[in-house]
Amino acid sequence: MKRDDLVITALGAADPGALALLEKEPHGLDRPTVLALAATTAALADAGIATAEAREKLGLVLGSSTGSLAGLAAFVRDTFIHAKPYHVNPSHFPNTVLNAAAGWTAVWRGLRGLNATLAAGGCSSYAALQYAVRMIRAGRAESLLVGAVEEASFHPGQTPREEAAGIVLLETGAAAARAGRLPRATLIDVTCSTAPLTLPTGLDAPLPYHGANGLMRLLALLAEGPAGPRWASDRDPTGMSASLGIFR
Amino acid sequence: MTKPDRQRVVITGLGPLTAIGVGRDAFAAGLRAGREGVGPIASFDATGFPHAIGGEVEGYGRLGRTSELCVAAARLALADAGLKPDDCRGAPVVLGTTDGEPIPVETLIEAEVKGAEVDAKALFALQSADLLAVGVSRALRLAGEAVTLTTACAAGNYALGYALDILRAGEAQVALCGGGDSFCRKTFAGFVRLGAVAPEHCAPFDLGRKGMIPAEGAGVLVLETLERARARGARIHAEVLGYGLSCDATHMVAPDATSIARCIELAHADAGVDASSIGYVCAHGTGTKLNDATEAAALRAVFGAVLPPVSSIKSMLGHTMGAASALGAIASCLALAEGFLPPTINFKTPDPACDFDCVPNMARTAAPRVVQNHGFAFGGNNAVVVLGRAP
Repeated sequence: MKRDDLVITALGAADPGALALLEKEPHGLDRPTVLALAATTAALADAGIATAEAREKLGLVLGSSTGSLAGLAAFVRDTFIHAKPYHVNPSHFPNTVLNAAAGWTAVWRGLRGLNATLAAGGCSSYAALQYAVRMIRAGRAESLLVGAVEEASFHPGQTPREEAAGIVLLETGAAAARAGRLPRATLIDVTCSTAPLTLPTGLDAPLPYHGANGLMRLLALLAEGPAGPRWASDRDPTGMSASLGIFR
Repeated sequence: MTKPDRQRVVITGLGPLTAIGVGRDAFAAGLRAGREGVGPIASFDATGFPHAIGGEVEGYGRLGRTSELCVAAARLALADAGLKPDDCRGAPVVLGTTDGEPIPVETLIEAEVKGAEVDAKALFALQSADLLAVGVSRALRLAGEAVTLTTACAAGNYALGYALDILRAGEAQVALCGGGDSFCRKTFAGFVRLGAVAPEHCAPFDLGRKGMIPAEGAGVLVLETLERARARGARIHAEVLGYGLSCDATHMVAPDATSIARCIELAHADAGVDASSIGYVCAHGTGTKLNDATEAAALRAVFGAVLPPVSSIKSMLGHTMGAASALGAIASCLALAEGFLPPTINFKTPDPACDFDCVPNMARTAAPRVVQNHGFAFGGNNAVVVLGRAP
């Protein structure tokens, strides 16, 4: 996949500013959903997309290695500690499935386009971008919010990780031009495979965000540094490796 | 019908792993017989639940269970296709799931609550959802892409659709796709709490239906370009004509008829077929009041007064979650290739809200040319796949 006419026109991260803007959001959402919602809201603002009509045309593709494991663990604990194993909080049940963050974000922001969630361990960001590229190429979408979300580790048995969420708006040059959105960068390439990859650059130093590593790298590439081609890469302990390239 | 610049894609291998049969022939025999695969729960202690019937597959370990089911289904599918892993080097693996590997977390929490010794690190190492596709890719030494689509109970169709797009675009000539999920305490408890679980039998479209029966399984399909399948003289079960995706964006749990109708129409457009050419619908058909009535309304919106036969294999298998639409796609292939419609078993009393031919209780000889397979999920994720008779 080496095409040059997909552009990134907006970006958002679940930083403290974006999270602070969510104070009026309904309670009861799990942490990955809150993070995804904050990053999406920031990306929509960055894109200048303010109407329900414009949001309705957008889709959302999210990479997440595990969804909310903390939420799953809490729900499972309830099946063991109450009088009956089904004395669980029904409103928490939908949060235990892996597509909860993308589903809730679509509901709260009215995103009625293509909606998908993917898991590829530490390469989940890349898998989400690659999926989005193929969906646009196949004519199933023109403009997609693409991102990744990861919750912080909650148990000493886990490999420590920090929470993060990032979203970019990926679209055809034609769609960007029609909407009057200026490209921040062109997506050159994104690859993700269990085959040994010949990476365009050496592997980047590890980040603590696991499935969101690639998205956090992409946001950094978009924000700073000289113009020209820029690359990022990651490897998962399972042997999967991934890379992405943008032209800025 | 097909755009000239893209590859036609066919299904050459079927690997169903279900409570009614393992492997193509056993599964087909189960569908023809209307076999019911649900029974008393054995894989976890179901003490305290008001009823304890589930659809389990025997003979698999508890930990990493979903990956094990998926690897076994992938091997069945390759054997059915007459392929060895060596013939598929670099093939992408795309699998769908609702929960990935939830059992290691359940095992951990149970041990902690009961104060038992537990190796948490070893359990967490087994739980990641990507391990389904990676597990298959590694077990078969495919050294290609491996991605797990985590779009819950529509994920099998999502995976089939993604593999179709990869092959259509010429990025690969063969792919393994499908879905899997394990029977687990979390899902059983959640659906019981929602009042969505039937005590003994799943009776989709019946006036007295009481809900779904949670179940497990895996279904893997071998997809190949028509060109490659013909070149190697493969037996072709069906052609993948197209698919559609839609997102409700209205509610996390309740299905939306308008959005499902949009999904069906997108699938028909992608496949280049009219509603009138559909000869059978393999329904989502969970057996809950709401799903079945909503699905019926969506079908009415697209098909008008005359519906094709619509049946639910969940009446036999139970709801296998992320495997459900992959197993529906396999059942649809069998319908096309072997000329029969799987029944909706446990059907007694018609429901005016589901006023169509649901192939009640007995499989039926028929010769559909084009069929559609439904998958709807939490998160408002809908996916419909359209399959055609082998070219």
